Amino acid sequence: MLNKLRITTALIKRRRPDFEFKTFRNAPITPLTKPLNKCKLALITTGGLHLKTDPPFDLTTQNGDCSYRKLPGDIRQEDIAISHKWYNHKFINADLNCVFPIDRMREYVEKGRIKSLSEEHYSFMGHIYGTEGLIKNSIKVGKGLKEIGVNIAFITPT
Amino acid sequence: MCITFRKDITGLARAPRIINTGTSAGKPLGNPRDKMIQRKIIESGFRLLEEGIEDMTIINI
Repeated sequence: MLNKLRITTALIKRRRPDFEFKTFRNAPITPLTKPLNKCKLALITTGGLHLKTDPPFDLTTQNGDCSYRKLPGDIRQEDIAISHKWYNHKFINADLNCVFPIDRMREYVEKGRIKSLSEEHYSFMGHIYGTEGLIKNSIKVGKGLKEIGVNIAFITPT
Repeated sequence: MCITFRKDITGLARAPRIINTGTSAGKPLGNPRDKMIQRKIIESGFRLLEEGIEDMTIINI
């Protein structure tokens, strides 16, 4: 596993010699304070997804695009466009749930495993080298989700 | 809850709850229309949320 990480780091350093993965010492544990069937869930992805009607992510910036896009709770596969160019889109084009498992989560609401889904979900870009803006925006998104009563977020890096 | 195919990278960020799916880029929840594996991954996430954890915990699928 360490070798795979070294190889990945070396490949990125070809383009960005100053690159190092951002590391953290502690895991911020937030215990679940109520049963799952009383919880509201949101999805967050770094797949560069956005509504076709929204502006794409900016792939031209040197440090990566730290912005985010809101995805509505009633989103459908045909509403989605993808800015991210560093992964193969054939899987998500065939089934959104490979990256953004919204249909599976809707089933879990129907079954009563979780109470509800958020009215809004979020997408960020990947391949970001300057993470300061990303940390700032992720805190903003987290606070916003908390304000609308979201208890759980499933995050899917791509 | 983080569903990842690169637990090495996600682990550096010390995400508290990680489901390592062992897939590849572009399909963290497995192949298209494989509802069974998608449900297995999500259920593993739900169970991990229901467990009390004290540090970063990784479940390998």
